Amino acid sequence: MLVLLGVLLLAQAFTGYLLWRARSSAGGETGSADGVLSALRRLADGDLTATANSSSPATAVIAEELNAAVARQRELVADLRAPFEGLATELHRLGNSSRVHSETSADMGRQLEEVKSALSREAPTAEDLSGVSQQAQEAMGRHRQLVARGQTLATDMARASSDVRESMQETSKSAKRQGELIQSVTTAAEYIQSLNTRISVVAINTRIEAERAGEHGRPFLGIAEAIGDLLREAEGEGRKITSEVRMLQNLSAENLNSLEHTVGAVVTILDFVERIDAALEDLGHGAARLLEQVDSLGNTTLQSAEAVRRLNGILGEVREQNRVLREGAEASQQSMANLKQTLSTLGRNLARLRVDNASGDAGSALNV
Amino acid sequence: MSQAFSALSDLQSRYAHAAVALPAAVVEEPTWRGASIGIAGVPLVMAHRDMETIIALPPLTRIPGTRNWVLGVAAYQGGLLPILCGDTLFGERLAPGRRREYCLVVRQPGFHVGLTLSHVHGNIALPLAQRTANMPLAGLFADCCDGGFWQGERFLGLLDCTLLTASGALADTSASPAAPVEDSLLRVKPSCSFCWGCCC
Repeated sequence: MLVLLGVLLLAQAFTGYLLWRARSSAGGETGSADGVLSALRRLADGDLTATANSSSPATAVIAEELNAAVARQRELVADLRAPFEGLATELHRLGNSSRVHSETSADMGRQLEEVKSALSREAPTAEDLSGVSQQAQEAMGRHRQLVARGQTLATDMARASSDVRESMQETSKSAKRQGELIQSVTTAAEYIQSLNTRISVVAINTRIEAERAGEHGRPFLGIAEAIGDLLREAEGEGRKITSEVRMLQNLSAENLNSLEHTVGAVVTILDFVERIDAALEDLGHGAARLLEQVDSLGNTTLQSAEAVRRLNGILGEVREQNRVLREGAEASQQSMANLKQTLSTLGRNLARLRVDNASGDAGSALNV
Repeated sequence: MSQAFSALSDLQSRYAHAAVALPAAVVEEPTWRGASIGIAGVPLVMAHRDMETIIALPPLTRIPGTRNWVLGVAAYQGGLLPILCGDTLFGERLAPGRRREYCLVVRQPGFHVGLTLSHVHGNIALPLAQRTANMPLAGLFADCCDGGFWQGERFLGLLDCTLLTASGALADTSASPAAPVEDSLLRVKPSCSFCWGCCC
């Protein structure tokens, strides 16, 4: 930039020198050199669009030379402005890109903050889940112990029921034997009753014969009375025995029936116990599988919590790098702003050199 | 004399005071004595004088062409004794219980038969005051009973064999087309172990 200014100053000085030489050599030809002087004045003001005109032969050559020099200066200025304009355009584009990058970086920073806060919220949840998983493991352990205890109880119950069934079967056999004995007693009671009937017949026949014998049969009457008394006692006892044996028979039948029902109930209980045992076994298997899944879930939860912690650390690093990147982008934007300011100054300085007849350089890229 | 008389009088009064009183005469309630039996499950009593004996039912020989209450004839004391089924004759039905085990031998002029009994209870003595002529019996029982005795809630009909003879029930033993001849013994069925033939 300084070199460019130096070149421009040298060109300005050379132009002034040529103007001074023309004045000193022309002298009285003032009237014919007005066009040249006017052009020189405009050139001094930086208007490179000025054209020197002269009707005098002495100054015509100067005017032509001046016009040629000015044309070359215009070309030189235009050539100088072109790369700067490209530079300003690229700088503007670069500034826009840097601003977009900076905004993107800021958005990314905000998103990283949100992700970090979300991860911060998730981390306790994962830890809570891990704690819940641990509690579930403990509960499942207790559940398995209870199931094992239930299986032990079911086994004991099955054994006890089996013992009860065997005992019931023995009792049933005993009851059947008791029924047989009762039947035997019943047969004996029937026989006693039959004997009583026979004795009754004997007593009646004795009485008949005694009455038939008249006075001689009186002793037989006493015998018949005695037999009758004995018979009544025997009949009373026989009826009592028969009644009690019948009650005993009914009770035995009821007991036998009850025993059969009890054996059936015990068999049903055994069936139920076996079903309960099978259900407890299935429950134990299910609890074991559930415990494995809870273990797996706990491990996964722990790994997830660890991953969340690592991700949180990585996000912190990314956020730090993003912050550094954003600061670099801001510094770059500041540098570009400074560069734009410098280019704007250069543009304003170059704009003082008019190279065409346009009113200004409003469309120039250097006007930033 | 007077002293002696007074001494005797004192002695009499002293002995009269110390003497044991005579026992009171016990007035026995007049009773009726007989045998308690049962025919076709109906409780009856019968005087001993009307009975010849009670025997176990002997082996029978059936008599074709007779009514179904004629079970047959049996050998008895060197002779033949017709055996009649009390259940069929009095109850007009076949024996409901087990085969009867005893039969009552009755001997009346021109009438010597055995009648099966449903049960035999033994000798019995009943107050004559309890005898009544009103009988809650029907059929041949009412024709053959001369009143009876109430023993609690139970009525014991007094069976009189002369009335049985007079009733004419035994006049014709030939089989009639309406009544089958045989099988009164064959159709009996076993009963319960405690049955006297009255409850089944």
